[in-house]
Amino acid sequence: MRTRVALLACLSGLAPALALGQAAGEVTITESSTSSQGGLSDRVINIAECNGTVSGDSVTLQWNLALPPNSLSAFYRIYATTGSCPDSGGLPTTGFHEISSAFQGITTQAGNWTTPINVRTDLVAPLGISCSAAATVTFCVLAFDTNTADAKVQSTFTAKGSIAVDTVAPGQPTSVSAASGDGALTVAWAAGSGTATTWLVTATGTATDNPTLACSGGGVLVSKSCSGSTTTSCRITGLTNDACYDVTVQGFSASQNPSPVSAAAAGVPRPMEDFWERYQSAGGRELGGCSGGAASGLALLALAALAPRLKRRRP
Amino acid sequence: MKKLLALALALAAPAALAESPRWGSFQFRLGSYRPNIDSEFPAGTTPYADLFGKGGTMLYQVEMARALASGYGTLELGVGVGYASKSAKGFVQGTTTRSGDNTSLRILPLTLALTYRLDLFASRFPLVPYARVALERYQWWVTSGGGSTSPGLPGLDSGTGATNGWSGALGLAFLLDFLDPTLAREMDRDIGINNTYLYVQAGKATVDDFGSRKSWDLSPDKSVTWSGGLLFVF
Repeated sequence: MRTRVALLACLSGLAPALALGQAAGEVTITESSTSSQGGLSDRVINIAECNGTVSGDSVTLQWNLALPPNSLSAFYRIYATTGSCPDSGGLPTTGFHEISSAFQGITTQAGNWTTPINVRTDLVAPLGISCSAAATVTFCVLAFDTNTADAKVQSTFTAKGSIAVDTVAPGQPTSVSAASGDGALTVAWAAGSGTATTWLVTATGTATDNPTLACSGGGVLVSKSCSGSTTTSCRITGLTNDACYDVTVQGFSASQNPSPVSAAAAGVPRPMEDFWERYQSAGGRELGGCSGGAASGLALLALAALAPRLKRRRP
Repeated sequence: MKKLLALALALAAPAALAESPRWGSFQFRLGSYRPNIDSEFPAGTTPYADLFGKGGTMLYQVEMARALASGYGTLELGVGVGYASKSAKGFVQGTTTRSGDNTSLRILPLTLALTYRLDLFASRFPLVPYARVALERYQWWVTSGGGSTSPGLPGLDSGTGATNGWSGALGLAFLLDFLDPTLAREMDRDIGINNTYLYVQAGKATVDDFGSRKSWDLSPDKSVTWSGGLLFVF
């Protein structure tokens, strides 16, 4: 008896869920911008995307809702908000903006909004997002009954998804130095505040044969991107020996937010004498240039057999 | 007398248990290494020490051996490979100022070794002496600034090659099974490792292309070198 009561209690608890039938769906968001534009397709709006520096950064939405059998006379409406999609249904209560310029008729369970939503003009500006602070933009997709239109929101058929606004930039790198390499400079720095995950090292100089530490600036520019949040040095190659270069370092956060560019440090690439060259310069007898291969083992055995004879021939 | 008998039986017990068949052995070895490159030069000329200093570097080696005979101890023929690397900042050309770029000497020793292990009484007395002789071939290369092989001076060969030689060693291995026979039997039953040894050895190597006058000397700069490792018999 007690078991039956418990079972009934459980079933009664399930009843509302069975009646409503659906949980909220997920909106999949894809972003269009690329790192070459200063942005990333990473579902994060960085400072360049937020300010509109990245031209035409947009997002598209896709979702999947399991609709009731008789709902083919319904349509979707899409809202963006800095608040949240109400679990109880209805429109967002704070700071929302209707994205869809026209209703989208429902013909299948899956829906999508393939018209790109411009990040700057359709989200940042209408929602009043400040690009100096973190925020979250949430998309609420609501299904409406065609007959009752706006008056009756079908709140149980709601899909939602969000995209973050991350405008935090790392601090300026400091203590930049450049050590001479052969056609290269090894640039070292101290990270600024915050976390940078990539570093852009730039060498600007005049490729002349007149070495001087007073770099005039301008001229040839070579840059290299080095990754790693704990990286504090990077070797930049493709430089001309005995020319003078000004090097700078700029950090980028995971969202591609740039730090201020560091103060410049001067460096002069110089030809390097490596160990092998030093050995040869000293008159070393090893000739080098011997290559290994499949025959090396046999050669080794043969040499071993000849070893006593070789020993005897030594003067 | 009874106590002595009981002790003898206890020590003999592991030997009485059946072991899986033995194929050979596998070992890891670690030792210090500094090549004797500067020995060919007159006093005061020390290109190796100039770049890399007087300290040594670690030589890591692994070796796989096949048991050839096991009647009176174990005779094994094995092949091995190792790695040692020494790096430092190079010199700005024509000066004694260090460059910002590294230069490295990297060595890959290849070994063909014959080892005899006197393990007849290992189950009763856990110290096992052994002797090994080996043919060595040290593949080596020198890297320049960007990590590529040194091109060498104009008109001379690049910084890569191989140097042959031989080595010999005497060592003493401690049978770790002695510390926990139950675990040792489980290792044999589960993964087929019959014995595990911790060993130390004193060795001598001559790696100079058997005295060739066109080769440098990659022998260790000490007449006797010490190394140690773990040996798994399976």
